[in-house]
Amino acid sequence: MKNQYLKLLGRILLLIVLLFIGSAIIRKAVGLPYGWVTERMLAGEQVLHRQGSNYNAIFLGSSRVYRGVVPRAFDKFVNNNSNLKMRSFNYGQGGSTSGQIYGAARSFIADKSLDLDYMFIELRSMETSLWEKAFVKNLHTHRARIWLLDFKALKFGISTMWGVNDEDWGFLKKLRYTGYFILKYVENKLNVGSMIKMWEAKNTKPKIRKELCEEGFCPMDFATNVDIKKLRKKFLKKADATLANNVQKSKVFGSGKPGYDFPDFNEAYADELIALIDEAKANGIKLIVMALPMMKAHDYNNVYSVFEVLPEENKIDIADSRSNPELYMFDHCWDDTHANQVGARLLSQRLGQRFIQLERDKKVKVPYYKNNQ
Amino acid sequence: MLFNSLAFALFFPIVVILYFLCPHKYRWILLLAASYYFYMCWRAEYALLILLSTVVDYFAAIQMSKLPEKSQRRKWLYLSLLVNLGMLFTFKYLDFFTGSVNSIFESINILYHIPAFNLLLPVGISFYTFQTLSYSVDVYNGKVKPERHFGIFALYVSFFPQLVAGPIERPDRLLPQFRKKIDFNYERIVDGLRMMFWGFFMKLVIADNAVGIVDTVYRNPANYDGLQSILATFLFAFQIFCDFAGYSIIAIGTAKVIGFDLMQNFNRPYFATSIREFWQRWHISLSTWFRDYCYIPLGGNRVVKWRWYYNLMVTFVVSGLWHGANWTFVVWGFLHGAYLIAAIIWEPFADKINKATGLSKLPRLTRVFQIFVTFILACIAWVFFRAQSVADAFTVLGNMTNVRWGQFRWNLFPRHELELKVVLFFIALLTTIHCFQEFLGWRNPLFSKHQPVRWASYVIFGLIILSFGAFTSSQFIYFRF
Repeated sequence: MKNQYLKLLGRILLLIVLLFIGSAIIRKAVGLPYGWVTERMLAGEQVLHRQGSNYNAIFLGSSRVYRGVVPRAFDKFVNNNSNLKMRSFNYGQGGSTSGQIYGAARSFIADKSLDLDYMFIELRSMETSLWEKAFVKNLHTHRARIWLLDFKALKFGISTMWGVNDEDWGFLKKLRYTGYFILKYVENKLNVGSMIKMWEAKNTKPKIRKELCEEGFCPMDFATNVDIKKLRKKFLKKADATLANNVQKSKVFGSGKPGYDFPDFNEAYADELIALIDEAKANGIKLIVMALPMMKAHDYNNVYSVFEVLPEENKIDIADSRSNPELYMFDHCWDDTHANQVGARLLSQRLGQRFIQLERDKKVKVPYYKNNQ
Repeated sequence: MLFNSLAFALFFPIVVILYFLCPHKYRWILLLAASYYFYMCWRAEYALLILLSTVVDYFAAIQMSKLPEKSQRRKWLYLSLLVNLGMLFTFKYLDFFTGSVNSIFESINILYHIPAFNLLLPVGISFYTFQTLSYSVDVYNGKVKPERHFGIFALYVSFFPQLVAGPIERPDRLLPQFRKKIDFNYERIVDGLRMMFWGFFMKLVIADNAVGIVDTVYRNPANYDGLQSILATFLFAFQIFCDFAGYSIIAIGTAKVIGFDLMQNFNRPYFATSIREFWQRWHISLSTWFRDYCYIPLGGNRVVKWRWYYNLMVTFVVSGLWHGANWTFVVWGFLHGAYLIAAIIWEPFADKINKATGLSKLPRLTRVFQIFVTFILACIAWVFFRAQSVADAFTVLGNMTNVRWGQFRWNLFPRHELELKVVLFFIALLTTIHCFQEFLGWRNPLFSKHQPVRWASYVIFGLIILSFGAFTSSQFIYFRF
């Protein structure tokens, strides 16, 4: 009887191993790293791989980057006001989670066909990778598969999730999400349900002009999507109150409020970001984390403390409404989260200004939490 | 819980391990708990309906066994029929009934509207009520003895592999198996796993990839041309076959792993040479149920001809209604009844024509022709089965009369171009395998006697399922019946 048990177990394990090997061969043969992509991602990758050497900087992040950073405006400002020569590209993706940004950053760091000197990534709360709706809405369910490609990414997902310090995040919930990350990782490794999507992606000819507009920047003002129009309508109903609330939030949490004791400090997330900065540095890329205006409450709560401990030379903060009041003005906003076309150009210039300051002042400061250790 | 869900992937191995670790005399408790858990994952409170059906039929059967005369037993049978069919009517047909009454009122200018009840249809209610009914009727007829162990009987009603979509088992086949001591048997378990493997291929790779195209056309049939309508109907024929046969094979395989033999539910139905044979190969557990508990009690074919036709038609219309509370299902059943009656009338002429044309000397060619015609007839009926209304079905059929074959191109459905290629390729693969099985008596490659062929098949079909399967946890079509 025992022999029969072992025989069955052995055969099942052998089949599983063969399926993993077969899946790896298929993935390599098909030659696409992702199980799910947007047309914008495809367009971005095509342009970057065709004209990669044209760009020496890339912006990664959510729709705040996609709709808010104008590479041409940024480049013009920096090139006119310093001896730096910037040629940047906006690879922001609507709804990107912290994990997705991390995954994209690592894939661009590893991509030797690109000649990047700078990489700008948006500061995003780890909780964006852990939204409850991630289990319901297809979009986000699949997105975890974009970045859970290797053990390092899996470690990032699990460790930063366990690092979330929030009373809503109990042991069982974290255990459930650990399972979720492992499952998505295994799905990736086995190409689960991805072949048709992969093939579709391979055969898709993305509308580059429509998807990338100006070096990847597409303003909210011209979006035809019904949901985006709804956002605008909703915003217009309570614009003054919403903006005042955003200003208040940025004053309370922003710009390293003195004496703030970081109750929700996610040390694992800080460590991962610092490791990412080091990994980029080892590959000749300077990685800069950006705190952009009009962050959500959970962004401030969960990651502003992380932002505080990053090396000074690797971060730019334009979130604070006191130093950037124009970025919170009605005339420069599309809704409670995104800049409009005019606001995006202002935001990009402000980024350029801070970037020049950063490059002029290369004195490295010791991160806060390293001081405390 | 769905077979094609992560929850089942965790649930099943745990149940199997616990089952073989558990002493024989307590296994029914484990299986009963697992079965109720399996059902309650969908909606816990609806398990009460299963319990109600179980309690009523258990006591009705015990009472019937105490009474020697059929006439005395009849009241207990009526109780069982009333409770089971009452439940089925309330949850499945009440809104259909009130809607139809409202339509009649409207047509004769009676301004009274019966409100809709909008009750949620309990998953699998048509299956478990029919299974318990067969028990009550068999006890009433003295065919089986009543099960005195309440737990075992409850397990018969709720046995998780076949609870929500069959096969609809008979008491004399399934009940004794719960008492049989089952040991761990490597060959049987591997056989069961192979069946599950094959079922998942049919469901995930063919049925679920065909959904997009079929739904696109049948949602707005007026927007599509003849070729698109034919293609969608062809794909639906395979979608419903692979969905339901896939489910049945997974159910049979699941039961086999834990040592139970469930009846075969499908036997390559699209190789049937007549509609009569089609029903001997399609949803066998249901068609035999209707034969034994509806057609034969009506008199079967041992009556005058018109009555025979009437019996056939009633059986098929009721069978259509069993599938769903919509006139489309009634028409579908009616069509199948009409096909059968037409075949009976046509039979003497067919023999003469075959002899006159010399077709009887070409049995293989005749067989292929008959298979083709039967498939076309089944497809025409499927149009009514799938359409949202009878009017929609006629729109699809109307479209089909205007086909320009030369206009075929892969992007007939621009958003599903690749799915179309994938589905057609795997339908061709499935049909080829079925051809070898049907005409040459070959085995399914997963069950090949040659180890290298078997293992190559495991890996190839495993990779196909993983890579091409649609893992969206879509429900099995027959769950709604």
